[in-house]
Amino acid sequence: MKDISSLVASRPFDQPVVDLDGKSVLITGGTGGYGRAFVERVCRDYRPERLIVFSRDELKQFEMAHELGDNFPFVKFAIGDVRDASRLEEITKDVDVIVHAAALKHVPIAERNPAECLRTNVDGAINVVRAAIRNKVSRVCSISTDKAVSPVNVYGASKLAAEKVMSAAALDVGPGGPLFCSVRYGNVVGSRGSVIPFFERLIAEGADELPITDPRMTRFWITMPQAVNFTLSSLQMMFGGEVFVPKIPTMSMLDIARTLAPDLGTRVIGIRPGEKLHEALISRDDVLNTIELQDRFALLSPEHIDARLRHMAKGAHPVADDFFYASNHNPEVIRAPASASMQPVKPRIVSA
Amino acid sequence: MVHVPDMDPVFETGLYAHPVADLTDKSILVTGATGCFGSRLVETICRQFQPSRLIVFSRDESKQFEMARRLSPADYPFLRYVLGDVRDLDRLIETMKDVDVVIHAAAMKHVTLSEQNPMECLRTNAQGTQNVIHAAERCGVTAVSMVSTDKAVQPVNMYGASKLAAEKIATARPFGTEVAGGPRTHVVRFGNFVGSRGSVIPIFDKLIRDGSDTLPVTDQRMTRFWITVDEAVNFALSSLSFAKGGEIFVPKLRSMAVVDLARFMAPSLKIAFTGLREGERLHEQLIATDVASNVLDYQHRYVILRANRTAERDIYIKAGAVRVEENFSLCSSNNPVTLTDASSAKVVAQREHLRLLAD
Repeated sequence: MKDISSLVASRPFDQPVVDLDGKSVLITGGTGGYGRAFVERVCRDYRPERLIVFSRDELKQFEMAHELGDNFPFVKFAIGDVRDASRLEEITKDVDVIVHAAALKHVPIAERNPAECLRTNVDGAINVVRAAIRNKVSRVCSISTDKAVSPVNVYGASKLAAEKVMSAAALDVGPGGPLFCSVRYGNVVGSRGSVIPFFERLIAEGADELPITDPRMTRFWITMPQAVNFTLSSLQMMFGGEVFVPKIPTMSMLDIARTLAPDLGTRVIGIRPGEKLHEALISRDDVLNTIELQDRFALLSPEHIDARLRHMAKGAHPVADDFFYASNHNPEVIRAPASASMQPVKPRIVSA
Repeated sequence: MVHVPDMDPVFETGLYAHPVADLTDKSILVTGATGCFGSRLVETICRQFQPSRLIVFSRDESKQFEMARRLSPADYPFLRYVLGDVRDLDRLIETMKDVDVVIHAAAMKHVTLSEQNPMECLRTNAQGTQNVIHAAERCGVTAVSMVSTDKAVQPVNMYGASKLAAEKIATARPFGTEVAGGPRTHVVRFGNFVGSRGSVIPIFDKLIRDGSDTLPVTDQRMTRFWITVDEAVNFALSSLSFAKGGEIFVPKLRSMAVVDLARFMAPSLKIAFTGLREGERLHEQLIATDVASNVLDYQHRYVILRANRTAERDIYIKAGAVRVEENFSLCSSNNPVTLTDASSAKVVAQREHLRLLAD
């Protein structure tokens, strides 16, 4: 995992710095992979008044509380579900900043349970927005995904809807109301249930080949520390309504497999329901809504003209007409370090 | 589930596997099916039976994803993984269509977290149980087994109170559905699970492995009832085979002082007494003396009937059950099978097993 992290983490995304000292911060999905990394960072770098970890699963909270021990008394744990509007409203009282990371994220599981996915990902986002407005929260950032771009699966569609909920809320509130934004990025290196830990487990178990869905498949990659930095800096630079997209590199599944296990062969197993060959972070159709900042892009609809002008006044500029930001359309591509023992890709076995 | 070497065999007695419930061709739904009890139950059913469907119902997609790798629908084609929350009645009704048997194991179970989040605990444990029963009635389910705890007996904490409420909801069927032949809804009530996630045995085990020189014990006097997860699964399945509806089934469990457990696991370590936490108590009861007149002693279990159910009582007595003394109670401090250390637990377990064979 270290290999991949050091290969893909080219930009830190750590500027501008947001000040959370003395603030009350709420993270939904606070015991998930992203949530834990966020809490760890806030504990390391800030002294907020409160950092509320909001999530459904008592076991994960129990374990996380044990790990934190007594060192961070400002960390508070609250059991709750983002589907539950009244619980969110209760828990966001006197909160200044919300990072909304609660979501169902497994693509095949969402395909089989579409209503569950919509309830958590879309209703959940709506409930976060309403609670934030009611309780006069000042900044809200929702975690999105590249699968929200031209979605082909329920998970992606639900996260696109959640982005729209955030951006629309930014237009609905008057001056002094909460600022809302989303951050959209690619696969997180090493997140639970994802491909890199899966490959590592197979390697540790002594597999003689790694299964890959398709040798052409590419993905965007970001590390967890980068993702947390990206959220924190986006919270600071937002004017409301943005979907922020980091500039991150592409790496193919084949190169991932060959980096982790240069000596192992790979076998094609075919694409799974709801999966795409390549992911886009910004679709061609969004070219007019996209502005380029230093280390990231921001998407703003024509209605968010104020925010767009304010970003341009700080040096952002529109992108070219043929702009398209996809994992197979990215100037930054990382390849596996060259290896003498590199094995050919075995084709998929199709039974007669 | 945390496997602590040597602890399962110490507590395991193999007492509760009979009579065997026949789940062949049945359609079964397990709530909380990715938890430590639920997942072992699902595994056991996969190994022992050929149900027509076995639905794994739970909220957490990651736990389902992990479990589906171990117990895959490719190997067990009757397995269905369904995301859902017992708080969501519509989802339960949708999923319970054509289901025969429901085992309801979904719950919040951490005492301290329930103290801090009382409404969350009530919504999942009490409202969730109401939803399960309601959906089961709507969908023509024939039997519902609800998993409960000794903390529901004369409760002192939110968790226990919520499980008591859930037991009442499960056993007190609305007037009329009994006549109409609603589900045979019953409760299986257990003590502490040996090795369940976040519980004392794995915590001790971790401290020992981390090289700690002391083990924390809340109180010198504290005692608990113990059951292994496999025993609990067997107990739930065998109870299911003869439950008439309305019973609370209680296994005859061993109890043990927590300090003896600590001494058994690490004889050389010091013990630090840390004091009771909010909502904790010294001893647990599996059966309080107040209900003694409704309690039957039946093989390896006690059966608590609803008050004045003479017809049900007669059926059990005909099958060999006997009524208990009127001052009967089952408390972890005055249990006939109280263990002073776990090596004697093993001896007792073996002796009981031999006695059983002799019977």
